[in-house]
Amino acid sequence: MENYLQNHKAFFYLLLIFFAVFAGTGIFIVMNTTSKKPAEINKGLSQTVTESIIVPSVPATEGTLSLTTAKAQVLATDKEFVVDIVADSNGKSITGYDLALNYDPIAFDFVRATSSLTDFKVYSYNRGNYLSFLVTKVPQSEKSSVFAQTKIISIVFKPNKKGAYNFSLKSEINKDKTDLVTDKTEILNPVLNGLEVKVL
Amino acid sequence: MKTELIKIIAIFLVVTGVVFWGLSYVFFGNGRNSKAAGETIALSFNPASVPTVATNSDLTVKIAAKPSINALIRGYGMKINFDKTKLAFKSMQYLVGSVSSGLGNTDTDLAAINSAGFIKVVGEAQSATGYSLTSTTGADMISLTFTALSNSPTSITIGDSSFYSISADMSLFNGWTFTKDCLSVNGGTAAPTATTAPNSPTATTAPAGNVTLNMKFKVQGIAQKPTGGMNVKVKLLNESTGVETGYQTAQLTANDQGIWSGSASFNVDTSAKYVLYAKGQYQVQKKICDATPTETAGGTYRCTTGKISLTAGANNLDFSGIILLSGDLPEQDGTINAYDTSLIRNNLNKTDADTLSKCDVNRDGKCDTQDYSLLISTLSVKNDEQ
Repeated sequence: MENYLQNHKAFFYLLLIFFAVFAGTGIFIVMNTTSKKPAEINKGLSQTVTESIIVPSVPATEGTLSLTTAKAQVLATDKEFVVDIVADSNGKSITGYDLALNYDPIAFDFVRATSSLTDFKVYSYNRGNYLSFLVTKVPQSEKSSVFAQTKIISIVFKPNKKGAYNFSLKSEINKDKTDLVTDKTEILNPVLNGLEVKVL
Repeated sequence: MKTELIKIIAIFLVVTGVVFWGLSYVFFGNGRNSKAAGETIALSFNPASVPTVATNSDLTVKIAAKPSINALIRGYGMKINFDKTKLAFKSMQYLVGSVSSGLGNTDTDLAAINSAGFIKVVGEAQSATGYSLTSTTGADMISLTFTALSNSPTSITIGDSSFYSISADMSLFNGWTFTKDCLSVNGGTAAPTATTAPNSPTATTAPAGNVTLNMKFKVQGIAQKPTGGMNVKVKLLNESTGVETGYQTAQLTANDQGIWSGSASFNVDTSAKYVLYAKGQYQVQKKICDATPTETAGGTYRCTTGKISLTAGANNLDFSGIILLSGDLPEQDGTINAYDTSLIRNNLNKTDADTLSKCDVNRDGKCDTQDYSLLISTLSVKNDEQ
């Protein structure tokens, strides 16, 4: 063993350092995975406690907004693909909604957004690393707009880069929000989801 | 061999430790602090002004705090300045947490407060989890009652303020910047004379309200004299230091041509150049860099660098060459969104006072499609100019 060590000293110490780096990284990951859980529990508890003492602050979620895509989630570069948003408004009639959509602007070009409902008009804002949409029901429309798993908007992108990417609706980015507004001017904060796509 | 083994173990432990520390530093060291940078807390009075209070009558105001991002507050401090020749402090109540014993003033300090002309508010949350201040609603922090010694105009201002929270890693965070409103009493706009604590290191402050801005504005959609007045919040940004004043509210009245006039006072360095930010009750915030700005098409004026020079005393600023774009309706959140469009759409043709106070953008006495169109036309801007 001693002879072996003498003959391969440099290699041995490099190997040792490699294992030490490996172990250090492992300990870091384990420590942060285990220590996160109580912190998250605490965070939840603190919100529950404070909300019971203080005025309610964060409105409860109501309704849903879900990202979907008709294609298999494997896309080719340079071919446009569509992300649809399907909404449920929990039986309430909607007169407008806001969307804050997070995506990778290097991997995708935003092409256009079109309302699936003829009496809603879309205003699009490209904020660089996310998209913001204000969609409003035209004043002339008198029909009720209760969303029940209704496709409300189609957003077209063009992929530029191979890889796996996420699209996600965010409740708030800067001043832009994701919400639904009812015909009683009540703001609903819907449950949101994300969508992963692969570009080949 | 034994020496070699100790050496191997030592190297292994040291490298492991260094890697662990390095990763912890990179992911939870500087990163965590920078995350909170840029957060603000808006301090405002409720009510926003007290138009009339008779001599020897009491007035009670609350001071509200609203953070830009939800925050768990552990403690807070504010210095509330008032003109002791016009107002007398009567009582106070900590609405969030309770007074930090020995640090903050209470009712028992009445004589000292009225002698100094300021109230030192220092409170702390009593629950283990802290107090949740949300960006949506904020919270009333303290209630103050004063007795008016005369009915002459005066104001109450918020001086040095600090809030702190404890981060998840138990480090203290107090990096908020503040925007502070001024409470006008009996129509007063000038800040009260600065009064500082004995032995205070900041005893050399300049007299408050050294500059008065007499401003003229034109508002989108209003081309003739409407009924009633309008409040516009105004603040100044010192171009060389980057320091912003708090918002002051200017109460405006319009002439027959729909030009709105009103004043606000600031205590600022008159050797600097300024940017002025103006935000009306129904408008998105406008950034103005020139004393007499103009534009060829309505709402197209944009600027980057402040060139407004101010002198001590009265300054006449004619901003009627540009228009303040409408669209951010009460309760304002700095952007035009589906709430604003729906508010008008859902109240079309209503004329009751409550509805009008929220959506009669052009002040013609009804909430109608004209108001809706004005709002839609501003969607090219959408957000407050910063």
